[in-house]
Amino acid sequence: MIDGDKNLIEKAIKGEASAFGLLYDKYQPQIYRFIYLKVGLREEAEDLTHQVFLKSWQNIENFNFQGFPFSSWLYSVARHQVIDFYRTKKTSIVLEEIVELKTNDPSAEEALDSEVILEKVKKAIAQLGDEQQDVIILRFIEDFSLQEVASILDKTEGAVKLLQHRGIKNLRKILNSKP
Amino acid sequence: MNNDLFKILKELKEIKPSADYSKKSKKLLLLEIKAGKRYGFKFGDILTSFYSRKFILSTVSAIVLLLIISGGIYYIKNQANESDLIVKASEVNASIQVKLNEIQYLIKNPNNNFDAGKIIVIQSLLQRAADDLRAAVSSNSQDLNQSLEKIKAVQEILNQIDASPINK
Repeated sequence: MIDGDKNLIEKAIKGEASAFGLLYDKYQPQIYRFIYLKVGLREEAEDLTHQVFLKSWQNIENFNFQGFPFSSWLYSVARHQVIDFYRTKKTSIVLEEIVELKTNDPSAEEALDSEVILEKVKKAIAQLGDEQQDVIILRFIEDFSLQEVASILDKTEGAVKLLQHRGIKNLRKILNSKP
Repeated sequence: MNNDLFKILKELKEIKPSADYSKKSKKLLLLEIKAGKRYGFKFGDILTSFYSRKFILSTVSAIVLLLIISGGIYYIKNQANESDLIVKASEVNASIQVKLNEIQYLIKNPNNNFDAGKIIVIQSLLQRAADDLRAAVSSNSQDLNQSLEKIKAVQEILNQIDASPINK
């Protein structure tokens, strides 16, 4: 736990909204990214991220300083928020369409190719199972340790390793399959 | 692409929310926190329980009724020649009415894109403003300064609402 965070969390628990505002500034981008990669739509991700921070404020007294970063707790809140979102919203979520552009500029072509690949990977992540998604995002995009991911998902490190192995295998399979 | 998969995954770290959204969301969050504290309940409970247009409409109707009662009280106060107080209260009352009309328009028109959570928060603030206004105009004439102070506080609430637009 970073000392600065601990201080802010303690102040937020005492009801200091401005301290929570600073925690929001620090962690909102990564929570948004996590949610966006799971739901695939910007607007939904924005609404859900807002709800995550509102819920976190309301339940911050339940946060325990147990050696894990505050972000682990926020991810856990975010995961449940996304699960609730899918539970109540039965309609299928479609990733934002890839815009295919044609250009004669080679460097622009290259940049465009890179964008297209990123979009393909984003789509592939969205096709993974819920837990595999979590592990791939947290381990390889957010750089969390196995132990931290296990804490967020409430699983053993062995189970996380297995999910990671299957997630990568499935991701490769989806990316190699023809559209 | 297979060999670069981990490198590509790292690149996804560049995904960021828009600065405009972040700014608005933080402002609204702090507003919600302040409003929740004052009422002693959690807005999340309300957001998840009453996210329907029916609920919003009934709440708006209740606030309108409160304002009609307030209007009656202004009339009685007018009889007592407390003109300054009445003028200020009427101005604030009109501002509240404008906001309520705006919310009703958004809710009644299904083509409008609005944030139900935000509307519930704004309604709570309007409810508080209406209560405070009612308290201000129903005070004894000896408490004129106190009433004016209350009206100023109501104006503050309306300023907070103005800082957070209702529609998306």
